[in-house]
Amino acid sequence: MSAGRGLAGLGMALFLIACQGQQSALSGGGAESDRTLALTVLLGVGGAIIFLLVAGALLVALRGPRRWRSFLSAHTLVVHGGITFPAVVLSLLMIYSFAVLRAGPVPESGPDKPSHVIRVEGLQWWWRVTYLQPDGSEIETANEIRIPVGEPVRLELISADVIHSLWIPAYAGKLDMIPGHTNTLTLLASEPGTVRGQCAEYCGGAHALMALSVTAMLPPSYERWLAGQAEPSQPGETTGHRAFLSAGCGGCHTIRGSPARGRVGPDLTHLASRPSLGAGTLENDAAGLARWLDDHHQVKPDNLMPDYDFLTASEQAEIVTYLSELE
Amino acid sequence: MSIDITLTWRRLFGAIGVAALLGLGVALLVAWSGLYNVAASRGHPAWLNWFLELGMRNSVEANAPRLPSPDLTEPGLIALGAAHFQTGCAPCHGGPDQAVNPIYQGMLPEPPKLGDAVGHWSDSELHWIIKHGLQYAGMPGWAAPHRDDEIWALVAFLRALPDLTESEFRHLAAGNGSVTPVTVKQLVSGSATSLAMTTCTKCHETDLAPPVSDKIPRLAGQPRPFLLRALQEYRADARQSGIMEPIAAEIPEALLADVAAYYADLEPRPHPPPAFKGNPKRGREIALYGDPDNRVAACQACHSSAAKPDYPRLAGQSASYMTARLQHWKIGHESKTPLDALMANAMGKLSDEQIDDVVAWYASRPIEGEPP
Repeated sequence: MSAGRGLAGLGMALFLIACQGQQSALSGGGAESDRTLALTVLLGVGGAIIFLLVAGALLVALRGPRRWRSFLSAHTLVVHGGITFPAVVLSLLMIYSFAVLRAGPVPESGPDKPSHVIRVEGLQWWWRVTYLQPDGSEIETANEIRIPVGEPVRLELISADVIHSLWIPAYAGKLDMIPGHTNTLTLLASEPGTVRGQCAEYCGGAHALMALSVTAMLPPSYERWLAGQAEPSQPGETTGHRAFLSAGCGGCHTIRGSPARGRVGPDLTHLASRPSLGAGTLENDAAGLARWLDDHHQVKPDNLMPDYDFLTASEQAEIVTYLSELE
Repeated sequence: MSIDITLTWRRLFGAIGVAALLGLGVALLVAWSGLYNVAASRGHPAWLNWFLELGMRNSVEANAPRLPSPDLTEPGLIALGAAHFQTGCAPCHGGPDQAVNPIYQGMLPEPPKLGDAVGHWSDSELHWIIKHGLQYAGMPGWAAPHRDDEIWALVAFLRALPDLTESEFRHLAAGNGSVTPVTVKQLVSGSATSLAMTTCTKCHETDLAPPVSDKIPRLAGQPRPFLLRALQEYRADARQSGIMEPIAAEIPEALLADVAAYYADLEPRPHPPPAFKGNPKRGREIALYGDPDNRVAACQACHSSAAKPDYPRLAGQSASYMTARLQHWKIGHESKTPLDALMANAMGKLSDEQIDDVVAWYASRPIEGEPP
């Protein structure tokens, strides 16, 4: 196999992975991405047909019989094929794409009025996710968004430091998170499942490792999950709990139900229920926790958590056990 | 036949070049032949003395930056300078109560008596000399070049020195240490108690008296592992101090843990009315909850009595000392140890005003264990 063919094969493989992965704009997991997918297919297929027609005409013009060539060079065909046809097709497409992408202000009322509001704050280099309850209370978690299937969810996007961009390709396009400004994005998932999102605006050292997972759940299980997240943790007076507090972790992290109430880093109240550690960097299991605690600057360079490698092995192990029990 | 002796540029440069080469050759010849006698006992010839003195004076003047000096009349500054001077400088330079030992009198050049010498220099120049030392004179540079604050203590003392009597100096340098004269028995048996480098009480508190200066920390009641780590880090040059590093180097390694234990077990004294300029109420918010917008962690997570004994307790600590430490981390000079790095990170973008506030809260709190 030649190098060129190998490269082409690799490109094709990557393209197919992108089509089916958890982080694909072509997977069509929600209303907005369905519309985007329809537009993509229409443009792709339509463009291919027109390309074939033009290529055919070019071939005829170069090699075809004289009668066909004189037909192609007729004044009327040049005017209608070269000016009228593109003008009409492009205008129609533009109107269609405006309609599909709902350009302009999003209506706040009507059938699309979101029943759920989630504030997503971008920070270097993780996501603070807060569920704003109708009664005014807030439920905070991190690096994971869960939404109910079939119900529109409004995301309020803000930033704590620099410009980030939330991109959940399966559900919606990219939208910047700008310091001092709130952008809103509406998600509507059509079926349950978990997809991946990523910061799509370079935001400093660990930008590439700033991901999050988005899980669409059936409404009853979503409500159950949210009620669980609202609860404080029940860690009990274990040695791990004491080690966590005495090492000073509570200076930056909150664990509701314990004296730890720092707000510099992610809320860890239900850490063990999340799919990943370090904003999509490590598997969330005991091995991942141990790796993070011991060596997180190797795992996620430049991240802003201080090193705790001066803790003894037994202190680290106790803290890992404690954190992995925070369901 | 006539010789053309017209002066042209070409000939001038040629002559200079030849002269320079000759000079270099002679210098090499002198060094190689051993003609010049380097014996310190011989002293410098007067012309060389004049030459070296001229070079030194102008070099210091040209190199010393004009620094804004702190208030050099502050007693806390002078007391620290005196304690360090007594064991760090007086052996060579002599002091009001001690003549220079003949061993050091034999140095070339002989170290000057500082009471007389300091008048020639400005504050900034003295600071520069203490910080960098002097080549060809045996004057060493400061063991911790970033600790300008410590060097100012020496400058403050040197300014006070000319007016000190022997007994005033002895009391100032002894701090909380004993000034009782040594008995013959102690002297001959080697258990003399004259003030040594390692006499901690020259500066630090005792069960009867507070520290001699608010520029240094209160040690009584601090956790043992924290104190031991500090001593070990001074010894290893990981923590920077031109005063504490030489002291920690003098403490026998086997005694480090005992010294830490001594201060950990020392009963903290009720502290005098706190001196601070910030707002303790605002400081309390930062200490308990941090300031997430500026990435400031909640201080109490590590500095309460419930935290790991590797971290210091801050309640009742000296405001002046805490402020200086925080400013060091802020500038980024102190980050050689894991805990320095942790602290520099945890304080985030704490502003100068916030430093004053949080320091005010800690300084005004009762020492833990002491009734509120």
